[in-house]
Amino acid sequence: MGSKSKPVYLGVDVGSVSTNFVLLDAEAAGASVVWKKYLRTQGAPLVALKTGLAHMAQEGSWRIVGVGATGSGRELAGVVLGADVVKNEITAHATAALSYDSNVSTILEIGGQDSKLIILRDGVVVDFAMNTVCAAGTGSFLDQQAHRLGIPIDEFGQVALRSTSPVRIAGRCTVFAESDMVHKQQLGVDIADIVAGLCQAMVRNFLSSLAKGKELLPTVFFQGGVAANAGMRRFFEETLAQPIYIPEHYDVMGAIGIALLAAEALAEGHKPTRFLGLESVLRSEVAAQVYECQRCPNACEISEIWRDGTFLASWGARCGRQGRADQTS
Amino acid sequence: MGFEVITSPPTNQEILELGLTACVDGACLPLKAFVGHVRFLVNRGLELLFVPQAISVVPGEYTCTNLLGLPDLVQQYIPSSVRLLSPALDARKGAGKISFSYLRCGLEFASALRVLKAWQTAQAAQRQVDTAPKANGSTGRGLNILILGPRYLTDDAYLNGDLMGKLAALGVQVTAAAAFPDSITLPASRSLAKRPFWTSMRRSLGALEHCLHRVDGVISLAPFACVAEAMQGVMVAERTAKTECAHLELHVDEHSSPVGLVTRLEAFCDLLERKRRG
Repeated sequence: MGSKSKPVYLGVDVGSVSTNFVLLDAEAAGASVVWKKYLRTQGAPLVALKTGLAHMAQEGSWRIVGVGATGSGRELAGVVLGADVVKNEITAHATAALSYDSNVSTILEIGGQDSKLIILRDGVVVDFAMNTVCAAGTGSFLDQQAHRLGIPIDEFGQVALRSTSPVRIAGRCTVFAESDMVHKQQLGVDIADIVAGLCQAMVRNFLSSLAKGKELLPTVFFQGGVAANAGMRRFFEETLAQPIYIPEHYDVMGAIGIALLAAEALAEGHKPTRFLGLESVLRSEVAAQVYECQRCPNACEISEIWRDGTFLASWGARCGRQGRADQTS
Repeated sequence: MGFEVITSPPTNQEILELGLTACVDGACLPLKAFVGHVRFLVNRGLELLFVPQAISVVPGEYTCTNLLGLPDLVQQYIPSSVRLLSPALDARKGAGKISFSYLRCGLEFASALRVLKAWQTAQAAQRQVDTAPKANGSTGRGLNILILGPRYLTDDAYLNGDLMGKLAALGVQVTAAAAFPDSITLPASRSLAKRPFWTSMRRSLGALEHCLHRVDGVISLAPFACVAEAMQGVMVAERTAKTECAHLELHVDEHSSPVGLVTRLEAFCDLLERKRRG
């Protein structure tokens, strides 16, 4: 780090649990990560965004030539930063995985609030599935259980690997899984066997809810924050009976993918970046306001973004209204 | 027939809330919305509530069990001052039985001649709704998508999270399977291994057979925890896999955030576009 004003692409993935940043070397081919940051969103995406950028400014001198935003907070990040590309995380994850290995056919991605299965053939996404209504079997749930058992989340996977005979835990629903674990604990079952059982249940749940009727061909990638869990990796390998690859930057793959997409879009359009500039973003006071619109009985939940007292954007209105709450039209 | 008719507006937050707070927990989202509409109307003051008991609307088929029990369910949510009018519509013994039920139900309120005229007017209005389906949305990206699912879901922009509007914004043309008339879906469903019992499922699968090689992708829209739709989802997945037609399953429930829906639709359209480009 420290080389004077290196040209880089910035990718930001604002998820429910983590907000990730990467800088890709704009002069290198493919995804060459020169800096990355994995932050907890903690329910405050705006704070996380600024914290990440502040770290970035401190840890090097960069010239940002393009910006991409993805994740469930992508619209927000897109407006605050002035992103060149704002795209969904499925396309971003697939783009990142393909840049590591063009033969990837299956991507297992487990993040904080959702899990995804992406099926590719010949470098093209042909099918995908996301867990629908509930967050059972995602990172948040593992977090919660690790906390409850008093095991740091980083060691959770290693503890699972120590198990010799995993116990069976219900994986369909978080509530059932938890009561199952409590019962097994009360019977005096070894903690490693419970943790391993939980990982197995999550693998089982992932495959039965997302992979039903789908052919999981090699090469298989496992990415997202939960890929750090060695237990999950082993049980995926055992169940699918094939090796699972975890890319080096498994935890920020969405951010890498969106940075690559930004680079691609800017190269295609021969346009300069719309990025507002590091200092200007860090200096400005950005505030979000969420309220229920009272204009019609739909009562949509509207999010408004303001910078230094100036209205920037709003979304969430079913009628497509873009204006401010205090404006009449 | 001389009645003053009050109808409820399209589903909105207020109506859904009325349904959610009263309706039994296990019911599907459209059913809860229906109860919401009923309660909304009751609050507006009415004497007669018209909820037909649709047992079968096409010979040889049934409607879903929730529709079958609709009048009984609704009865729980109306005061005794409101009379429930629910003629049984049963086409199992011939399509003519349905007209007969309506006419007999009307005779209590008007002369035979007036009832007959009202019935003819109603049928003409229904035919207008049932004409060949039009593709909506935008031709921007040159993509065509078929939406499978019951009409009470595909036509209700509030319940389906404005699916059609979101797809139009993504530059996609959309056709709803439920808008295809039986004259198309009945012959088309003959190629299925087995004809489904349920009319809405047969319509969806028939429309799928009819459109399979004319669309880029198929979206099945289903209420969360609907058994018939869950089964249909598996059948559609099998059928589309054979023809390499892309398929997306969407479940709707009471979430108010559109983010998850937009993510799926966006990714699905990206997928279709990349597939088409090869």
